[in-house]
Amino acid sequence: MKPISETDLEQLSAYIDGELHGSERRFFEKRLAADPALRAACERAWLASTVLKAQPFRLMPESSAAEICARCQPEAGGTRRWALVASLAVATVAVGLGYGLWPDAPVEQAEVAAIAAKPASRVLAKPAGAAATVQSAPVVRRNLQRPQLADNAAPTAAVAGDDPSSFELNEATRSKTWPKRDQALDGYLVRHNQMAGSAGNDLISYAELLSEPESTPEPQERP
Amino acid sequence: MKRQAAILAMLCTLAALPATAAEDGSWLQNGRDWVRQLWRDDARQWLERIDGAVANHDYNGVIVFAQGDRIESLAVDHRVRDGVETLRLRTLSGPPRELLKRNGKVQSDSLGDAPAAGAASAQTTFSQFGRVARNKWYKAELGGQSRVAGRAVQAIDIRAVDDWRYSYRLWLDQETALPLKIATLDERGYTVEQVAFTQIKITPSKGKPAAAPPPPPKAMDNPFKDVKGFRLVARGRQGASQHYLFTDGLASVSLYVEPAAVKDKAQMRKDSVNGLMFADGSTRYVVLGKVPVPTLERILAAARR
Repeated sequence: MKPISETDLEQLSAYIDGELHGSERRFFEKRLAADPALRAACERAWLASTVLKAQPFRLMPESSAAEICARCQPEAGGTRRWALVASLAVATVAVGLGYGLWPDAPVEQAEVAAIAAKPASRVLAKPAGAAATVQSAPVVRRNLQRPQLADNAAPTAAVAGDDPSSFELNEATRSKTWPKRDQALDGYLVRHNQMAGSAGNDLISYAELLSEPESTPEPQERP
Repeated sequence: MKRQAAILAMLCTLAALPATAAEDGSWLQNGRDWVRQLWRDDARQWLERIDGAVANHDYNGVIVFAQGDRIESLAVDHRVRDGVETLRLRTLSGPPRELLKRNGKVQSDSLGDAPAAGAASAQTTFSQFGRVARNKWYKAELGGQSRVAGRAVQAIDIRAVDDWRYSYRLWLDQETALPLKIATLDERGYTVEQVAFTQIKITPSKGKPAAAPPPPPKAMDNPFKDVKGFRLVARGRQGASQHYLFTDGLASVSLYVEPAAVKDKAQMRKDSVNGLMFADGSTRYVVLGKVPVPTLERILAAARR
């Protein structure tokens, strides 16, 4: 089984965040269906996301700074001054957080409760205010460059590694088939079977050559 | 008393056997390796009989060719006279067509002469399977026994050692080692193509028996980088279209390089054949063959460098 790469984790994170679209998303879902390790990683990520989102918000009481200071047992006047500054800083942060979070809290808790009630493996809707309150499943950091699967990207050796399973195909071209009536494309196959049959005296190539419908050996220039 | 001593000695020996195996483990492993090697050699011996079987037997019958949702039947007549092979194929379904190959030259009433510079005309039919035993990209194993076209056959599994090529399964006639059925398996192990005799009559060929089996097709100078064991064995030209044929000994891939003032890209598939086409505005590359798509992509990338 192939280990999960950094690129896989980036795509996984993007997938969970709903940032994979179109062919990228379909391709990744196919990979999920085919790769048990990747699927397990995805389920773990969903689980972590769900657990994080299900946590209730608890604001620190305003007296917590004073309590901490009391337990610190100040030894000298200098340290007492620093403790006072630290307490003020903590209190300021707590108040600031409380001010910023309080208006959204009722809605958020309702959404979190609804999300928590769903099975962890199911695809979850991203809460509207989640970014401001709870980290939205930051499974991995995605500060690296995401692989580009552009439709016009030429297949290169850099894309296809030594493992064929790492080959990333463009979904838009994967679904194409040989045009059944395209004589030019069929012509290539006829020429292939002719040469393969002659070079290796291959009975299968000859059989294929004869049974080819409407065989035409001359390929036509496409406009 | 003697009897009791003999029983005691036998029990001690039996008890010592597992202990020895647990202590050393080598004799058990050696035994397993020996049996495995025996089976592997059997598969190799079966495959090495193919060339001789084809060169020294005449056969005629009907083969069925199944590919995707298509099934065609063809009449086959194969004769060898003084080492010269004649193969005649005639379609029994669809449009009537006939192909005759004699002494390395191919004639067909519908396709014209087949051009193939560098073609190895000395090859006999099924030669590629006879050389699998010495092909490092495939591993042969003995399969089960069954019947094809009313004859007893021995199955040989030819597994690709990596995911860059397809695997095959042969059913060889137990009496002569002629291949009576051939299945092509894709990278997932699914059958994508089958060729099988439904009727066959085999007789020893007349004239002088064939000498040594023909050598494999000689590799040509490849203007591109070799890809995963696929070597250039034939080259042709049709108008401005250059045709290169690569093979790893069993699978073959064609690459076409031709001028085209278009930009285009497509992945294509027809039954068991995969294909890729890429046109960059000045040149069009078409690569196709019965191999996985990533292999075609590698060959295409090598051609574009």
